[in-house]
Amino acid sequence: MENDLSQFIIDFLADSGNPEKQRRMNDWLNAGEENRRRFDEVRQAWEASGQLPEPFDMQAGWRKLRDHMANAPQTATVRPMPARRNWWRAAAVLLPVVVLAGYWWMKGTGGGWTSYTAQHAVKDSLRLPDGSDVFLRPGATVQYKIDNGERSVRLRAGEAFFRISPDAHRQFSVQVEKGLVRVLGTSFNINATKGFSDVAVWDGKVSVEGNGKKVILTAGNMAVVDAKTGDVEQPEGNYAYRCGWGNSDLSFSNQSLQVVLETLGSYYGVSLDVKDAQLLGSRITVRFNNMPLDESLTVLSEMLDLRVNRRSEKDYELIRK
Amino acid sequence: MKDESNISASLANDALRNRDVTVFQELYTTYSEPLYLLAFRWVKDSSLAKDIVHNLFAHLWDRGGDIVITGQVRSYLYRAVTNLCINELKRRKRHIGEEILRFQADDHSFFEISDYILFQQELTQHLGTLAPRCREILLLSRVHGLEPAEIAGKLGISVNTVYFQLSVALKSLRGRLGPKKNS
Repeated sequence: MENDLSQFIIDFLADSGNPEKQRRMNDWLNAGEENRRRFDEVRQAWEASGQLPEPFDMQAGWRKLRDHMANAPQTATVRPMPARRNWWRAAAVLLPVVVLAGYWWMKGTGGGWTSYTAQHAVKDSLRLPDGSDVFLRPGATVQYKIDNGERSVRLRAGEAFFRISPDAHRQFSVQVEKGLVRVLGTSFNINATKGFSDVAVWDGKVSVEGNGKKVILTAGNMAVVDAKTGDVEQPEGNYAYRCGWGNSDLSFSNQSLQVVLETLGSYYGVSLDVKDAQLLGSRITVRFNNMPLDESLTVLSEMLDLRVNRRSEKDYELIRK
Repeated sequence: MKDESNISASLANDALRNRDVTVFQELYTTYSEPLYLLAFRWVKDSSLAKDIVHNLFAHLWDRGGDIVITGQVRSYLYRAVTNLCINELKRRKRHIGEEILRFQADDHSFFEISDYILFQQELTQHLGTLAPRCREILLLSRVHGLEPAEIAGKLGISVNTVYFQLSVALKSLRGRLGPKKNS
């Protein structure tokens, strides 16, 4: 009955210009207040649904946008590091960008925090008011508050290497998602991603806290803080190499060639390829201190008896001799 | 007013400048549908509204380094999409309603518009809960403007079934509309 009534009303609404239907509807409406109320209800829903667009397909929209993004012209904010010999090319590109864009400063983000986002294409450095240096990977964002009482930094996203100037009276701390890193004077690296933040120490001592647990790290140690739970884990091994990009000192202690190549590749902005799985797994101890790419490759080749095949400016393959 | 997302203007600015895909996708997920509903309100054309929203996000991505969002991200985006709609209506020499100009000029109408979008989103979500057939028939009738007889022919069902499904859909929508009206 209820549905019959609705159908009668819909029939009218769908064809409201029809005089015959209009007459019948008027008769029915005049028959009682209850009829009028019911009619208004159905009409409201009818009109509201008539104002809706076609359903929005967000996934299709995002796919289309992804296609556009993939073809969009590159801006200069993130560029791989060119080989040393081509430094002037990078300078030619970077200089106007740096002049135009300048640095992204935002003062007064609330409560005396200053925010800084790395703009440089390769490595950006920031000298904090207390004399500490922060080296940032492109896109990394830090906020800091340095005053007489405290030295606090927040690393929102990205990777940063810290060289802290010693100050026994003011502890230096870095907040990451669900974790806190405390130091006095030392240098260490933090890589903050959505899921985890990892802290690797170059020298000195650092404490890392999260979810009620605290670990003390010394040179080469690493701790990983889960960004959701705050759980802190300390994997075995020497992770000093993680600091290398920051202080131009890439040091590996009994690391697999795979890790060495990934780190070197990311540092020099090139792709270093080895097809031989057994070779990739071999462990080496080596240090590249302020070395250009070709020298580093020579050192590696000597150590492992390899030949370097330069496939393009940014693409190298290492093959057993 | 509360924002659905915790993307602040400064985070959005950083993300656009650095082409941070994760944050950009979050912006898209949070705002693309409301922006689509708003664009549709101005241009009354689903596929044009879809294109305008795409163009807005493509522009944000391409020109991210030059864009500085101040205030609320949502209000910035609502205005940006409205301006794109006005440009498009002008380009097509279509009538530009008073309402859209008022929204452009007046900060107060922002809240009205936000309420409207929220309501449309609720309706849209509610449509998603209907049985697929029922939903399809309602869309054919109310969004695409087909007559009940046309729908019956297209889907190979009786006109009575169309009426029945429409009455089920409208009844369910009425449940949604009721409390809103009383408040």
